[in-house]
Amino acid sequence: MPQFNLGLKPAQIEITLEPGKSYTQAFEVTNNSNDSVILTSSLSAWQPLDNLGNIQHQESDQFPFNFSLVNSDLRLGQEFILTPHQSRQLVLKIENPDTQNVDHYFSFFLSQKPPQPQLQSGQNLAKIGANILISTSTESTLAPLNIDFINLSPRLKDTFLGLKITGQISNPSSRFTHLQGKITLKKNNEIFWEKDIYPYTVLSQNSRQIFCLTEDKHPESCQVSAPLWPGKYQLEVRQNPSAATPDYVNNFFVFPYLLSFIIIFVFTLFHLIVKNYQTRSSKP
Amino acid sequence: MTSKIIFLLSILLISFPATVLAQRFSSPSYLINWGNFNLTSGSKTSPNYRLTDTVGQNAPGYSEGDSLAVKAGFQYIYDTFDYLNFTIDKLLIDFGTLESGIGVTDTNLLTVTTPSGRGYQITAHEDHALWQNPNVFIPDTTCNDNNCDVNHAAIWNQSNKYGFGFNAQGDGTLSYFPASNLFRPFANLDQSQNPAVIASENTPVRNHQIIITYKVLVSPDQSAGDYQTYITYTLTPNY
Repeated sequence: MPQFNLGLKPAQIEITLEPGKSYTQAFEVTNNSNDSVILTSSLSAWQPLDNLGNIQHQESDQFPFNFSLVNSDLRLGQEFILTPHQSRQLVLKIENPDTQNVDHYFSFFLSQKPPQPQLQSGQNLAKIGANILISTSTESTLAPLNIDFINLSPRLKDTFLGLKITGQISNPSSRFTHLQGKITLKKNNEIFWEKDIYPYTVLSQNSRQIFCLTEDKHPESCQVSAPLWPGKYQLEVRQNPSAATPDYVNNFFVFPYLLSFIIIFVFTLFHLIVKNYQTRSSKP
Repeated sequence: MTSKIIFLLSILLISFPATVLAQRFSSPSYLINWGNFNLTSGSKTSPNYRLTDTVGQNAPGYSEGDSLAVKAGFQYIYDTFDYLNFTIDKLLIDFGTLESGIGVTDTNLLTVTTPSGRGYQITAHEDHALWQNPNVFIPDTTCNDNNCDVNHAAIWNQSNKYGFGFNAQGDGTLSYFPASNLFRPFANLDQSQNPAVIASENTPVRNHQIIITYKVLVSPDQSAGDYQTYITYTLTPNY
């Protein structure tokens, strides 16, 4: 049974391309299946769909840039065959004739062409794409990123429940950039917990949800594990880790509410039982 | 006097510059013509970025002959990116012979691996309805209560609700198909519908799997014959 198994790298490139300049990028595509695959290459523009990095492709095939393959034997859109386990390099050239101070985002697609000339009842095809982020901005300094909001949950900060930190940062400038900075939780002015913000790309005039950077350089939800000993805590977010003052500060109090409720409940129950017993035993 | 001669020689050299477009090396046995030298190349780093470049290379790219391979220019020596990888276990979906009122299913397994730091999304679409020709087709499902569409799944288990649809279960599908008995039709390019997301995750994944279940249910009035379409799955990394 024929299958599809294709690899593509790099998955994303981010470039600045001033008017009149060009850029060349090599993509490597590998057919990991035991069947030959017929492929074609194409470009498709997209826009961000949400603050999590999802995208939505657009219909237009009129681009403000000139895209071409500079491989000697292959043009953009021309079919080529990858034999089983063969890799091939596709060298994409991007020219910017005159676009300025606006970002554009594309997918460089490799689309499978039907392997069976006679269409059967249902036939699957696959497409795999790499992101191309192009800035044409000539700005030398970017407008600072804005922290839209930081949320701490649960609302009642309990010693034994831990903390989840969520938030969103927006980019008001005319070109994409990356999130950066640190989230620090302090107790008695000493660092109790600290993580770097994952350097996700935040697009121009767009926002991105905050994730924390793990030790193995992956993004993960920002979570402080229990126990958080009772007392006053301070959450700080700094986009520039060496800045004297944080961009965001939130003070809150942690207390073992759950344990206290349980103790009060047990004590009250015990008190009622004892009182009931005393009432009964005091009756003549 | 000597300084005057040096000065005059310098003026002469500046006035008649040689245009060098290529390099030529020769010996009694060999003659080598080089198209160009790289002007600069290497790896540059800052706290947040690492840039590798090759400037000045003519005819960049990979070339190979019977006994040699040339990797000209670019970052061949810095292969540090991981692959975005997409697998579909089989390319042909065969429902066999259909009987009216009896739903027939087939399945596909999609497998996704994403590079470090990136999530993904998979969209799906059909070229057109499952058809013999544009006038003889099996309609796309609208589910039990006519309440599913290309972006919303709904229950589809009644034997008199004819059509073609699918369900997706596994990694990254919960937001789109909360249960295995919820179906929806494929986005139909022939009707100018945009491909719809069927699975997505926001963090990097390795060999995450999605099971697609196709279902077709035909009415007694459906013409006999072969019905066909192409289903396309598109994998893109999150930016």
